[in-house]
Amino acid sequence: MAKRLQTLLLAFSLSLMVGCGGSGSGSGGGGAQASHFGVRGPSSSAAGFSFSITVTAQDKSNAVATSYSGRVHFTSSDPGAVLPSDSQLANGTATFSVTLGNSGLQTITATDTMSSTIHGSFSLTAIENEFPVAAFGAKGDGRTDDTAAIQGAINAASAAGGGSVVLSVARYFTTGTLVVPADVVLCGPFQGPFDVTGLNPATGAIAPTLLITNTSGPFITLNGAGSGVADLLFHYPNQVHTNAAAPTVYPYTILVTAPGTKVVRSMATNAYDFLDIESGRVLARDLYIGAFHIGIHIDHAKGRVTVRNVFNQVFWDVSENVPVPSPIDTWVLNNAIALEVNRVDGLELHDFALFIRGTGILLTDSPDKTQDFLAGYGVASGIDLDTVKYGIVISSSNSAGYKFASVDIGSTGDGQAAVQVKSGGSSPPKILINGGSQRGVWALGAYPAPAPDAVVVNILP
Amino acid sequence: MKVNLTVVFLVLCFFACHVVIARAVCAGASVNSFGAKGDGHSDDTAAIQSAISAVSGAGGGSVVFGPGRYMVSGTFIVPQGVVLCGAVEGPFDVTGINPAATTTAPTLLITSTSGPFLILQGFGAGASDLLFHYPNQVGASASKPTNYPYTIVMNSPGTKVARCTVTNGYDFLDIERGRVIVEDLYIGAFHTGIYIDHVEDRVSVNNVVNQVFWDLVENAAVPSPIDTWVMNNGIGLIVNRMDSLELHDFSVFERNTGMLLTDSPDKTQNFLAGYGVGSDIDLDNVQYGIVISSSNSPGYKFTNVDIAAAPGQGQAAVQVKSGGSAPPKILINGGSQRGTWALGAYPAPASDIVIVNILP
Repeated sequence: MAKRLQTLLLAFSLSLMVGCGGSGSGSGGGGAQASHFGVRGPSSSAAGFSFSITVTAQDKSNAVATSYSGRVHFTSSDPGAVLPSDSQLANGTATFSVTLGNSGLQTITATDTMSSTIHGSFSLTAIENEFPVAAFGAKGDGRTDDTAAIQGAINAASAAGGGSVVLSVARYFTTGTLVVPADVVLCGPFQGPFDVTGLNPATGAIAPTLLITNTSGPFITLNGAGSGVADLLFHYPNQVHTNAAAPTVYPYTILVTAPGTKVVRSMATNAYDFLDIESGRVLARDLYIGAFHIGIHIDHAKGRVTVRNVFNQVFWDVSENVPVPSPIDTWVLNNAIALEVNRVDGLELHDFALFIRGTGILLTDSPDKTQDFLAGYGVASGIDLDTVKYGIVISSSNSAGYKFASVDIGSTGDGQAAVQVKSGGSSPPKILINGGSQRGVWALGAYPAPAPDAVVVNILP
Repeated sequence: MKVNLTVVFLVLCFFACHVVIARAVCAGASVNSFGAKGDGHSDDTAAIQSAISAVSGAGGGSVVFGPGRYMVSGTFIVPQGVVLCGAVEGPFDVTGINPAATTTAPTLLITSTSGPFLILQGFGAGASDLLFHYPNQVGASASKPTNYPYTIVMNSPGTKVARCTVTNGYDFLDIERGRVIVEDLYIGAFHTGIYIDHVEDRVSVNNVVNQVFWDLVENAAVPSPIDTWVMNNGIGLIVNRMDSLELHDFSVFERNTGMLLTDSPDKTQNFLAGYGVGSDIDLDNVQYGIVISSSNSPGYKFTNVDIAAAPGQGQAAVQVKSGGSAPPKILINGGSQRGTWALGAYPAPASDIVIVNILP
């Protein structure tokens, strides 16, 4: 586990212990004789990387024995552990650094060098193939540029044959971009996705957060099989505010160029374009996307792409505590597309929701006509497109078409069409909407002049 | 009071820390610490068995595989409360890389032909985030595969298989008990992807891809000679007797039959051939999409079904057979079919079949 998180846990433990000690002093036990050691540390650590433990001399009622003047000797169940030398405590407590060499459940024990009855221990799990970015110099303080440190951790993981590069609950400021090669997953320490509710991710660490400022290229490129992103929050601190008329353009947050990759349980706030999938055999799931322009774009996808449980939301208003619609929302209503699909062999789309976008889903041909497969086809279910000008626009598909079940589409009030099927194009579009509802007023009609190969059935009145 | 505070802290720490363990689903006893090499040639069977026994003896937990190639000559029984898992989140794909020669994931190289490789035998037993590969399987130029037993047999309720991949398997997953979860699997099995029988209660199968990984491993073009055998023999999913099936996001590329819903050879079971609901089914390049010869009276209900004929070899998108121990019922509500079918896309339907809302 990454050091910063341990520090947080440590602070947590110390504050409670201070509380315990204060209470002890109040009852007159501050100078009592030490009967045992309290040993505290993280529940897990990355094998080969150091972490902190605290040892506190305590009396029989667990108050801090501030007058303890003995020496502490350290042992571990792990023969590969790097332990502190025999040490004294200061006012009954001290913090030490430990590194475990072998993964699995390990115990660290502190024993008085003179009296073996004074001892204490704790256990933790050492995890292998894990690379905490803090160990590679990342600060996570919200202002130091951590780009090189994080890329260093990624490269170390890659050199070791793959593994997890773990960010702590902290704000990692970056100025550059990252390339994640085969078998390396960039991830947070606990399960996302995260939400922002009245908190600005640029000023408070509420999740493992990457602050992105680079405008020259995609922030993360997943370019090897088995590479991935999991359990992270991406935020653009220099993005315009909600009272601006148009957002600043940034490249995609994540570009996927290799099959066998995944982007899971992550979130973006104040992004411009979030995820560009340029390969087949990719899995994207459990994403909260706050992107002003494009949520997910798919093209050049030979083989199947799976998109599950994605929520395109208006996180920027929430992080600034302003009501919807803010001025920037007007731009989003005129320009944003939650999902754009060009050429793909087979799309699996499920549990896809959005709130406030110009177009929910655009199914169209690629500008690149050299691909040897056509505009895609796919199956989709559980689609909720709330407050859009256009719900689903389809201008192209291969002959199998797109099949959607359980689709709810709500108009902005100046809505144009719930489902618009365009005619002509390189591959005449086919679409089935089987089961759903539509709400509000549409200038062109909810399902205007459907082409012969559009089937819309079982819609709630 | 002070003691209580300490206890409170320890309890808080337990939960807090439990939440914040990195890759929490797979933290536990590393097989490496029990002597497994993961070097692709040393036999790690005994070391892995030691790790399983130790974790089981301690009351259960995870047996962890880091990225590496663990060559195994034997088989394992995974007891109650023990999960074999990889340290990197799966499922894994194989794209022009041979998992027997290059480490791409936490990989088990399987060579035993004597019985199922893993038997999940006890509540809570599971396998997750692993790549299973058969290094001695024939190459893509062979005319038929070597027969191996199932990679995994689920023999207890409360078991799960998640985020795993198999390449060059013969039969992959045999579900022989109800109340199991199977999700996020990439299956490269020549013969049977998932087989379900003897299932009292429900089985959930979610997000499964049956794919042609063997050609990719060897950088051979589809169809290779072995694909012809698969086109005549491979089945994505066979369902026999079971109480209830939940099937979602199920896709198949290049198999003889996408799904076979039929009765069990074992007629002694006290429940009938199954029923269930399925959605988002993509059966691409098959001779038969869905074949149903038996169901209990609620039948099978599918929505969003896309079925495509293997060029020049399509027989039927949906074939409903008559007679049998439990006359079949099936509803396909919404979908499409593509290509040419020798018997017709939906030949001679029995009376209890409903196919509606199919794209023209």
